[in-house]
Amino acid sequence: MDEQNLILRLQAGERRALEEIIQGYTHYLTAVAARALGNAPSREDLEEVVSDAFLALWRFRDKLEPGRSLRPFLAVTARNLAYSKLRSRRETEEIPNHLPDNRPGPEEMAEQQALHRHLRQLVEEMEEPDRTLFLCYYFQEQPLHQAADALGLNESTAKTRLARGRQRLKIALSGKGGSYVQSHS
Amino acid sequence: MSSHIHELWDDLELQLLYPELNPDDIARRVSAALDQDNELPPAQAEPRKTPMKRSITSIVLFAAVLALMAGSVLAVAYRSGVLELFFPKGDTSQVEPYVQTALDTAENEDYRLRVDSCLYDGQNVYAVVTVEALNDQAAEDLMSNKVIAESHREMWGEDMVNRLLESGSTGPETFHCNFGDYYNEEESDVPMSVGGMGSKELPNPDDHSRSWQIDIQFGSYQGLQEQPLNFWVDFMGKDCAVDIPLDNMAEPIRLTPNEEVTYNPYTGYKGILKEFILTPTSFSVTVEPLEKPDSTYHTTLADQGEDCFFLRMKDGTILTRMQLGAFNDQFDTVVDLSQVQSIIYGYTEFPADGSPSFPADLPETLYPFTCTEIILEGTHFFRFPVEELCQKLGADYQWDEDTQTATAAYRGVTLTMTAGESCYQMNGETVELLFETRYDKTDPDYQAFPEYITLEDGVLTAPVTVLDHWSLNYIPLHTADNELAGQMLVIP
Repeated sequence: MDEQNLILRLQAGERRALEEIIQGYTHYLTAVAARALGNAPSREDLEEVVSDAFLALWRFRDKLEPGRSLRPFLAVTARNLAYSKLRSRRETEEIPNHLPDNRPGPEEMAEQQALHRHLRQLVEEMEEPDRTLFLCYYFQEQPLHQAADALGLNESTAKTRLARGRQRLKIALSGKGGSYVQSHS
Repeated sequence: MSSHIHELWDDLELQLLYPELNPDDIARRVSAALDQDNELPPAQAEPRKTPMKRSITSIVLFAAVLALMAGSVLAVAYRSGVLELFFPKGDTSQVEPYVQTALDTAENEDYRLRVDSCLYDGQNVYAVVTVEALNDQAAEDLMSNKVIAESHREMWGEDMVNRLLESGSTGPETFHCNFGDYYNEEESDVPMSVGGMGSKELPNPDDHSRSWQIDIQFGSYQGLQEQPLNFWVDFMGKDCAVDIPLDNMAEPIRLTPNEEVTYNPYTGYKGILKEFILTPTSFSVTVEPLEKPDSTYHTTLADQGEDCFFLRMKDGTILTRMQLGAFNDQFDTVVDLSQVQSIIYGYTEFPADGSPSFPADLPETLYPFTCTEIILEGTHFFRFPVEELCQKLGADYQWDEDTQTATAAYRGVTLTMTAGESCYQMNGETVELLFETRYDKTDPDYQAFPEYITLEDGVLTAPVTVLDHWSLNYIPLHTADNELAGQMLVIP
């Protein structure tokens, strides 16, 4: 995405520019919102926070500076919206006596979170450039070419590194908790 | 386009931590909301609140994102309160009763966060905060900047971590507050005000503590609030937030004229002035434009001519917005509201006591005007023709052909500039002309280049930074195609 151009088009009132930004940033903002909301957030909550972040971008577009990346603004907006949602929920909603049907129970949730923490730890322990490549591509949801460029790799090499890295992670995770993977697959 | 992390979880046969959203669904939802916005009765354009002004001489923050990264630590150790730090010049006695000290603290096993002093003016919080380490390891992590650097890893990546470790600077994710709780429900259904937060590090109080001056801007007037503002540092977490009270502030001057005014004297755009709030340290304006500006209004930066206002003091003095230091809605000096006779907005004068308004009678040289701006090709070295500017400003200007020296005086500041020199004199004191690529000298991209007073084809030119001594704002105007126009908008 040519962000400078997108910002200028946004400021000119072009909704198509906003749609392009939505396509490029939805998954990243979902990750940000999910971290902020915590504990298996619902689809509805995530959609609301992510949508509101893009609405905020549109409504305050005149104050954007074309030379700056949209990523930090969108991320912080999404996080603030998520916190506001949490705060308003604590103040107004009663704690339900039962969980929604499709949500995991506390024990299962704890198991999943432990496994995901282990995944993150394994990624952090990777050697460079794989570590940064994985963080940028998977956890920051950056486009492959952007993650590759930042590391001085071509896309083909980056893809190969990702594939090999995933293979190693699979082995490491099944070695650590083969039962986790098998029982939940 | 599918989510990368969901692909990874799928490949690793892990259960999802959260559902994958479909960008098309989000786009439809956003589009529906915007369509609903457009269906609302066209009550003119949306009412304008005081915008955050862009300026090449001010660092403007937006939402919680654009935190100042200036981390300069002064050589002399001292402890100062908010007034000395934020309003170093002039008489601050008007607001001293509203400064609060020895406020809230919060701590975890490693750190204690403390608000040392703060001042609230209805739309800005000025504060001094300190983080104190509570054990040796925490002290090492704090004083080496490791704890701040590491807190940026997830959002900003390895490069930012390394940069913060090297520079010792406070990064953009260090400070947070609950902006989202302060918004006008009637005007926005987005729970976030257009605000910002800035920080500047102060000398360390001791060998296990660090202090900062914090500037929190709500972006619009909030007034007295029962609910305190929550403030926290990222590496301590939101559970260790401290309360900054918002229930004590100086009474502002509040005018609600509902009269037609010229809200941008540069373009001539008119609107209805709904409200003007003047606090000792800031201002807030609400104007309903009578017509929507043309599509190039923001691209060309013509919008920088908005909110041109003046204060007529009881002793006859006229203070311009720039003399108050208000590049955005904050002043850098404290105004004694009891001495304000009237507020002039655009070309209309509104007495502070609420009596009827009348046409203002101010010299045209106090209003925004354009001046030639010279941009050296391929660079961002902005220069201006000294005589042309002085003429339009109404400044005293004298040229000595023998010494090739111009002497120009305005607002009590005399500038002496000699062709060919890389310095000038300001009230007799020599100032080196240096173009710095970064504010922060510890920034790895920092570079400094000498600049010169030049005489070309009989025209003396100087770098625009010289104009800072005259409390002017100077905006590089752009064309409709977003190219530099070769003109600057000067705001006296």
